Amino acid sequence: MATQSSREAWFSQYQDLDRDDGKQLIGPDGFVRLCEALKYSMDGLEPLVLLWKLGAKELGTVELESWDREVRAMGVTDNAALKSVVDVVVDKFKTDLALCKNFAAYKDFYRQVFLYLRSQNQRILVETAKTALPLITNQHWLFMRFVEFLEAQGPKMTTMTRDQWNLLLDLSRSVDAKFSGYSKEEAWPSLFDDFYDWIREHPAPSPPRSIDVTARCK
Amino acid sequence: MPLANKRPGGRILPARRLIPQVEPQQQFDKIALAINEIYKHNVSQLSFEEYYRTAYNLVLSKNGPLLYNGVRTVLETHMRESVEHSILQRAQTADSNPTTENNEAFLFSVRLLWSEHVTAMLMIKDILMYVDNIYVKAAHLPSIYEMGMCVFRDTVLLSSTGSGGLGTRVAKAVLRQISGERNGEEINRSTLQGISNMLVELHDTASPIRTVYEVVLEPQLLAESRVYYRDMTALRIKTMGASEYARAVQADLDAEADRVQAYLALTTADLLRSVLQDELVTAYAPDILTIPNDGLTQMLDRRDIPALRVLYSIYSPLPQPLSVLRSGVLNHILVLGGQITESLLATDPGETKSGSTPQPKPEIAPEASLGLAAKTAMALRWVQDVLGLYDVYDEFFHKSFSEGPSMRSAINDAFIEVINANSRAPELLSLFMDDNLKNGLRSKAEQDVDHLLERSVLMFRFLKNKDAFEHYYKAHLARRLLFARSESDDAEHSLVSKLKVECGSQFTLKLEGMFKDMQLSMDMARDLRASSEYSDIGLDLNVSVLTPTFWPAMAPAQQPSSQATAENSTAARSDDPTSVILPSGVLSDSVDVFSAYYLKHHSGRRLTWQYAMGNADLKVQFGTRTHELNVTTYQMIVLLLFVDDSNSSSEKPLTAAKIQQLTHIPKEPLARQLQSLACGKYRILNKTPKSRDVKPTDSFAFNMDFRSPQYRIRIPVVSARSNIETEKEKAASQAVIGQERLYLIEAAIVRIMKTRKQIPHDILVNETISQLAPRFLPSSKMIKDGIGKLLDREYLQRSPDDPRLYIYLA
Repeated sequence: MATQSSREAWFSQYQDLDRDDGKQLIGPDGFVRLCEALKYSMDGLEPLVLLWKLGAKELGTVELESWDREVRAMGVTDNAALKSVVDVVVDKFKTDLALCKNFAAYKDFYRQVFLYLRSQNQRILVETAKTALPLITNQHWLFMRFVEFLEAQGPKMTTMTRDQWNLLLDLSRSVDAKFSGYSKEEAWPSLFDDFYDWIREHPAPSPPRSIDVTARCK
Repeated sequence: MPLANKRPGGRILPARRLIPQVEPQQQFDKIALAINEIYKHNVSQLSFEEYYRTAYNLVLSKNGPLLYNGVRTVLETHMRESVEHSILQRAQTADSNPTTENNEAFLFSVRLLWSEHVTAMLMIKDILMYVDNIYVKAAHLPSIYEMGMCVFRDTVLLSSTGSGGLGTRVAKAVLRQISGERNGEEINRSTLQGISNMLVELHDTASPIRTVYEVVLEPQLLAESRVYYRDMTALRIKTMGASEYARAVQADLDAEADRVQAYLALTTADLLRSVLQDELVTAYAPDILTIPNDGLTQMLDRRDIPALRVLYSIYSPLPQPLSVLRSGVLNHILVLGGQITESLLATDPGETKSGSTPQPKPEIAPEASLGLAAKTAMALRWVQDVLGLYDVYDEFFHKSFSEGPSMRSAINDAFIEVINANSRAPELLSLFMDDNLKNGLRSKAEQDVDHLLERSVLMFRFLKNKDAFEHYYKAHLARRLLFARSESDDAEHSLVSKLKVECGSQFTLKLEGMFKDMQLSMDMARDLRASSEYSDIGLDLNVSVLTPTFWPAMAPAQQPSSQATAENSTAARSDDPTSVILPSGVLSDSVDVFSAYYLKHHSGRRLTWQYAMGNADLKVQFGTRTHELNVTTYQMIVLLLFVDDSNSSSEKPLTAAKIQQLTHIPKEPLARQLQSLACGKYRILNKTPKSRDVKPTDSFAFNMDFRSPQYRIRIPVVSARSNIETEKEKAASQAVIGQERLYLIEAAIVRIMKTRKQIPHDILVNETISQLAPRFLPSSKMIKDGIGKLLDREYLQRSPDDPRLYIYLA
């Protein structure tokens, strides 16, 4: 087992040392360096999973306290070991199975991504969502259609709320390609009612790539 | 034992047998003879006591069976003989030649035999009383009288005599008589009544709880009636109009009820009526109402109250026909209401003028503004017509539909639909009330006023968007109050209190606040006049102090008075009417004095002057002539620019831009004011060039040569008139109302969540709807949006276990 001091030494390689508030944390610069060391592209899924695995509360910032806790929990002591753990998780998340077999973990990750990517006003910019959703859902058909829907909304819609973001994952597990399980009377955000109407007006040109997630889990 | 002591040694001996030893058969023959004598009406020669004793002896000597059976045989024989002797021939005649007379003769003979039999049996029963009391009871036999009845039933009615049982032939004869009577023949009802009574008195052999009437006559009667009326309906439906048909059905129902009453068993009444209802009403319920050219629609349009009453009375007892009638009435109201609304829309093809040009005043441009005035008239017409239609149907309800609850709901449902189908209904209704409160009441009697107000309130009750109505009502009421255009304070207050009854005090809070402001302003004017400051006010100044939360927002485009708004803290924008510059001198001084006076008495408040909604009387010198002009406050400010230092009129022209710069009156209203001063009927100002449009570079000069025969001149203003909104104004109103709704929805959700803490989505939606329904019907999308906003602002969160459950975050 690695000692507390060796973990801290590892941490300090990426730590933001220029802070004058005395907080011990890895800042955005340090996080980018860590990703480079692990050979992760900043445009990929990996940096987000890494942040999540390290218990980061916001984008690009890892506090020593959470680093220490998470690294110990993962049982890793160096970059190579950390990379292999993250790679396994990324692989899981990239297969559809991950969406259900370890759904609780995925859901936690998915919801956390909102907190990483949200803008000042506590919402996520539609532009950001359009890039992030295909990435973190491995281009799940519903999210792809949703991105199309967002495109169709044009400039009148600029942000998504946390509730809309979170419930979108629940939606993906509740409806099939024809949205047959959907009801406007239920508690879905009204944005999904519009999405539903739009889907019916614009049926998918070809059958969705991945079909019913819940069905596959059985 | 004292009694025993009285008769010492006494012994009670058996009575001596006094019965003469006569043969039982002999004794019975005596009785048989007596029975025959009874039938021959020779009762007076018989000794009751003698026969009674004979029967007594027979029973006592254990010859009860002999006597009982013997009597039966005697009766049977008598009956058989009577039938053969006096009935059978008549029955055959009636069967082969069924004329009314033959039927009557046959039935009469049966009835006669029956009534003789009954009379005889009563006497025989008396003679044989001892038999009944002793033998019959012990042997568990029917009593003598009952036995006599059975003999009649079995021997006369059920025995096969030639062509079937006589009972069946009796029933057929009765039916022939009924049929004859239905076809207008005279029959002897009392014979039939006797026959019915006879059949009711006799019980069926197989199931004694049923009477022979129920077995032999009633089913045939019902079946035959069904056929009769079915054929009749098929014919009628082709030849009659609905009202005639209904009257005919009513007549049939009455006739049959009368028939049952007169000569049938009362149990038949309900059964027969329901046969008639089946055949005459239920089977054709929709067809009757849609008879071409003479159906329900025509009856309604003709306002045929009596015919409708008949129609309702035959339809209403039957659930299915009633619902047919209900929807028939409902649909016709929808059609008529739809026509009224259509004729309104036909006059309203959208905007009168492009939204950017200000609405000119009627006097300036009759051809252009007639559109708006005419449309307003049409709008008032719409309310008038809808209420008129309601009056018609309300009269039907009271006079034709017996105030039946299902007709009430049909009428109300229809009017709710008609009224709410017109999206402008809230505005039109308020406009209608406005018009009547301003112009309409003078010529009407008090009860008419009451009726009018009642009806208006009724329409208000039918409105779904009561919040929109409130919006318009406030605006219209504000104008009535500020321009003192209301004709009757009593009517105003009475209307508000009626609205209060409908919608609760919350709804009328602001309206009442407006009245209160006016009252307080009057009180204050009185106090001011009595105060020392009054001498510092150099003119007759009337100020209304309004509480902004009660009054509609004073839009820059509107134009009411020297009117201050208390407690208003909004910062003045450049085109804000509150930043208008008053000409210095007596006017602005007076305003300052008033402000100081007001704030002295109400410290901590803030006054914002609204010059857009006032008016002024000016004495103006045109050369040598003087006129008194009644103008708006804005116009007054403009005109005062043309007064030079020596306090006389100046002919120096000013451009529109310059006027704007000097007065800060917002552009749009300024242009309108200039138009009415320079381009209207009274040209106080000369405009160069003389076009109607006002451009910033146009110049205006005082018209010294103004001439008018009148001394006092009112420069017309549109602001005092309430017109139907233009599309642009309508959109603005809807935005205001929509915004208000979002607040109300969020407030309702928070209220519900505060008490419930946790609540599933559907219940939250339903409760929100029921909380808001008195004011408007929120769509589930609006509610969802409200929930979404509250989730986003973290007043609520979804339960981590169930996204359909909301949790209130205090």
